[in-house]
Amino acid sequence: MLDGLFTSSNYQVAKKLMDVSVLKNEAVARNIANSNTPNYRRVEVDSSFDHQLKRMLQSGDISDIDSLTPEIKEDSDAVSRREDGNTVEIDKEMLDMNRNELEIQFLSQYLTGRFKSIKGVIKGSSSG
Amino acid sequence: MSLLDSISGGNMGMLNQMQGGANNGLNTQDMDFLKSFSDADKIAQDMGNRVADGQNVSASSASSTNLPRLGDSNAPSFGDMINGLVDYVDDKQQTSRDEAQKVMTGESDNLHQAMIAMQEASVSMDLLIEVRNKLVESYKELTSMQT
Amino acid sequence: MSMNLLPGIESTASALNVEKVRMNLVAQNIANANTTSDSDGNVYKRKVISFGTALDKATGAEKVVINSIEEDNTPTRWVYNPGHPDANEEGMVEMPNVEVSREMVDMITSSRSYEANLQMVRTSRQIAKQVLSIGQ
Repeated sequence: MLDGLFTSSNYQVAKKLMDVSVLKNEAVARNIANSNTPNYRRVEVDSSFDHQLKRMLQSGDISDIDSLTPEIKEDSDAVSRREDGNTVEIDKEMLDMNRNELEIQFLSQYLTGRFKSIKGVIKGSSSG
Repeated sequence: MSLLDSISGGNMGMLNQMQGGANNGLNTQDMDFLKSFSDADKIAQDMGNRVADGQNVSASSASSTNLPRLGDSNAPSFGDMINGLVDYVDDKQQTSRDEAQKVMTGESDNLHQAMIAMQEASVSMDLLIEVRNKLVESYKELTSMQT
Repeated sequence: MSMNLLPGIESTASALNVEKVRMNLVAQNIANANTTSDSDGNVYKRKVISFGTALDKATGAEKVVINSIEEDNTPTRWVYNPGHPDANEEGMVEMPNVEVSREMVDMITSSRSYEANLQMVRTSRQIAKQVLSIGQ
């Protein structure tokens, strides 16, 4: 019944986006670690998760949000530009790394803001 | 002053602002929920007033036109609402404990889920505590009116 | 199992280790590019490292591991240099099978990866700090 506190679509989507960003960071870590491993194929979190979450945000309909399970998969479209068959492009990974960090920072601050404002309203009581 | 106003410290305006837009802040569901507390408060005050006037207080006469009638089987009882709140908070606390445990044992490396669960549990608990405080205050007001 | 607050850090740590070993090997190759006679009297042979990914069974983390460090068996180069102390009767000297330009490329690739992995460690820590302060 108190569900209303945490069921707003913005909040739920933000939580899920955080899941996605943290997972993306792990994918980047693996790619950078294997940037010179022969025949290594880079991995990523499919962009469809981001698209779906964006749609949910715009429509406000988050009824399917629990069925969304982001995961790390091999990037089958990647092409190797090297003779060792490795498909990692370090510059791209570095860019992704920086972007993920900022996304996570933003989401953390958004969530923190939500928690603080709700707490503020709750505790805003002065003399009854 | 209604319970809702008490809880928000007279910040009804802020609450309304937070409610603005379906995706922002508290939605209509929680507004209704919080309002029902305020309604219950009004009922209590109403009853108190009638007693002070020497009237008989019965379930049906205590209600005014827009408030849920005490004893109306369609309206959630006060006790139900409180129980619902307590269950909800308990659930959040359990989730928080579970997530924290998963991180501590290394079963999960999703630190953010644990942190978020901890915050949700903490905020729900804060609300429960405030609601309890206000209820106790209202109860005290009510009983002091009867003497 | 202990707390893993920095997801992916094992991959990163293993990569730092492997790249460091590789850089040392490359440096050694370059340093010995002209070593015609080592302590055993043999010509220096290029050292090659072979590495790949492996799944750490205990933690389930994907790691970069060294498969082997071996001597490169591509043929050595014979250069005509009769004045050289190690020249044979025909004046030919056996030179190490090290191509400095190729070693330099490996050195650059390896050190770029090393730096990137170091950056990843910093970023992971930043992210963890951010997450830990949610709500505060």
